[in-house]
Amino acid sequence: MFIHYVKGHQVLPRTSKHFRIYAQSKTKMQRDLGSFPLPPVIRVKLKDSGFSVVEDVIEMKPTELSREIGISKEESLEILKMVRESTSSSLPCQPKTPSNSASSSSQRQQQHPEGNKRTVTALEMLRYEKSSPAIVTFCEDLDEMLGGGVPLCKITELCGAPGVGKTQTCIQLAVDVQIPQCFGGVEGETIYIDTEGSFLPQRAADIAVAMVGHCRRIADTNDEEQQTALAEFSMEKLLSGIHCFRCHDYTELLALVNLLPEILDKHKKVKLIVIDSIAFHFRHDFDDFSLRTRLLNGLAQSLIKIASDYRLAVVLTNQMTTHIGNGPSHLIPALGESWGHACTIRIILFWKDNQRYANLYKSPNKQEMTVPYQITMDGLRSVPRLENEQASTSTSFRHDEPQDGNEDDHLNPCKRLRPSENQR
Amino acid sequence: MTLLSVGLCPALTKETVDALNGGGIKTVLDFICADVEDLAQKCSISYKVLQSIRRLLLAQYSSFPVNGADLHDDVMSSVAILSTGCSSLDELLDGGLYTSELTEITGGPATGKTQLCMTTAASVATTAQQNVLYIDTNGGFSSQRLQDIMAARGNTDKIMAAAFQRLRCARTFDLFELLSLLEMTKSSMDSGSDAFYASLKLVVVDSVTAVVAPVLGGQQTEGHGMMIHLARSLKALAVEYSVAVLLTNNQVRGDGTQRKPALGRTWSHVPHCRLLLTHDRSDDASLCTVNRPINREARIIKSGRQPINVSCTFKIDDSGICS
Repeated sequence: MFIHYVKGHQVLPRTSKHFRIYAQSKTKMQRDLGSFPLPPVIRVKLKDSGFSVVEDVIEMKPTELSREIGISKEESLEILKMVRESTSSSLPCQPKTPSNSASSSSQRQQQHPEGNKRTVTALEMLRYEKSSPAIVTFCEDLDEMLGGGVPLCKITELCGAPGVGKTQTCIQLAVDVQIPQCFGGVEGETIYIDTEGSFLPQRAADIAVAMVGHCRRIADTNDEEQQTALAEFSMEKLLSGIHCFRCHDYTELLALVNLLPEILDKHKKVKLIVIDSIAFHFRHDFDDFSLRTRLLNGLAQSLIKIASDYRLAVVLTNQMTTHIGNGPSHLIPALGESWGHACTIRIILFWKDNQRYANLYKSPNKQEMTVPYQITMDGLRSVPRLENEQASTSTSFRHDEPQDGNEDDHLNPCKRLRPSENQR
Repeated sequence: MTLLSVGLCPALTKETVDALNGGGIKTVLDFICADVEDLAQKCSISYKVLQSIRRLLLAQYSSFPVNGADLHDDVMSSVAILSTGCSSLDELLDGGLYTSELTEITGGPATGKTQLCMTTAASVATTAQQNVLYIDTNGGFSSQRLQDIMAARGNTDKIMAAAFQRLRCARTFDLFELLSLLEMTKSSMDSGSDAFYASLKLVVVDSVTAVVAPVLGGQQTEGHGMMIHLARSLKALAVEYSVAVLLTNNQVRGDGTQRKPALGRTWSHVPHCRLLLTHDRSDDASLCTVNRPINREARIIKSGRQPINVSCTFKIDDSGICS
């Protein structure tokens, strides 16, 4: 029996010793030109002229190459630059590392581990992950379910039927991300991308006031750092830390996401990007579903890249759609099955027995879980559990102030709290 | 497709190469495919010279026969089987992940693909003590979870510290970055300057779909070519460097309610072995009964060794995937 091994058009003796010698000198040179990010037109031209691997072009001058395949000198110069960069160092050019915000000292020390190397050991990753704070939700159960809050460097998706509290949760997070570090917060800012026109500054103001009040209550009078932080901590400051963008169609949304790196370079404090909702524009105006899938997948990759590069959290909301299968119809998250893979963490919000629940549907590091929550005048809160009163005092952001008078109304979930109803 | 150049074989002089190039023959492939008589007339080179060039090039570029017995010995000495860390899955896969093979895990959202990747990585780094490269393309990797899995499996701190050094992670979010990372991995394995790459045994790519899907679909045909590129690059990595490659692929619902692995039929030829993960949980969260254990199932849908459509159940707990 004889078996032929062919690699490209080169003969490969199969003994490993031969192979290593062959490979050592050749691997970099044998890299296919198609694996470089070149425009399709140029790729075709290169191929037609017989250039297929790095070795074929590496020795050429830009003028020769441009004459040979009929492209401009600038273009050929760029190709050669790209190709040479890949061979000169085994570590190809690294996408720019964001400089962390100057105000946060702990973050400055903790440089992004991928800044200087392409790969990092899991140990470095672990240190990096452990030093990443999470954004508390103000709902203890939800925080526990997520392992401390909404994590940075990940995409978290909130799915739910209308009125279940997706936007409320987003506004709550937009405020929470600004909690000063001395209170255990992230001390960042928010980019709030509103596609449905549902962001209500009024509601944000309510939640901000409640949050400022909460911080004042728990502040230690002897802790100077906390006192200075509190002095400039106000509702106005919180609201000015939310940068709102309104997108009227999916083109605007895609354009904005492409511009985000520039915006983030200017606003270095941003630690949370909210898109409320991702589904709205993508659910209509689309005849070509494969185009929609492609755009959405591309969008997801851009967002996770931004989340990882700039070390921030991305929170998306998604609508629900009715799925008619073999059995009875039921509600599933919109945008189809392929989108279900896009987010790292998926939380499904739903009503059951007159109570709001959050279900952790998908998470890389936490078990599936369902917890109740409520939305009050002050924002997102835990449902009080009398029997567990003493159990959890560990988190500094336990919502343990006494319920005030009109709170009772909101405890009744039948009367859904809509932003317009709650003028005090 | 090597370019025809002076010195490729003695008869290829500068004049001959220029004459051939003038006749539109630029690469070895062009030359071999062309008819010698036509060529002799078109480029006015003697038939005899062309024949001798042709014979030399064919000899030089044809594939090299290997005796089956030698190949078998070679395979027996070089193939390693890496345990996934879950005994029932290992059984399903005939021992675990084979080096020189691509193993693909496919499944819908939240079926346990990433968990299986992390469990396997943890198991290979601790029990087998081999080096692992984990390429994360969708942000699903969590080193915290990795630590939990290792700890839940009763590893001591010392073993875990060593294992964490044996594991490297890379984050790439687009196809070109992934391709250049794979190229870099190959050249690092060749040069042997980095001890990590010299004994790399497992490469995990979670997930392939995340980077390929954005260039696929719509009216675009370019993306398809790039996907094949990635497939070749991964296969070359697995086969030429004796590395086990573990991929994840999404499962999507097409037009009907039939679910199938993403990336279409072309990609289905790429992995050597395919595992499908499913669970019986409802899409509708409000229908879930709290704390009901989820039944998970793994089914083998493509394999060169094992009977297909055999399945086993598994569960996910603190120690990752287990039977």
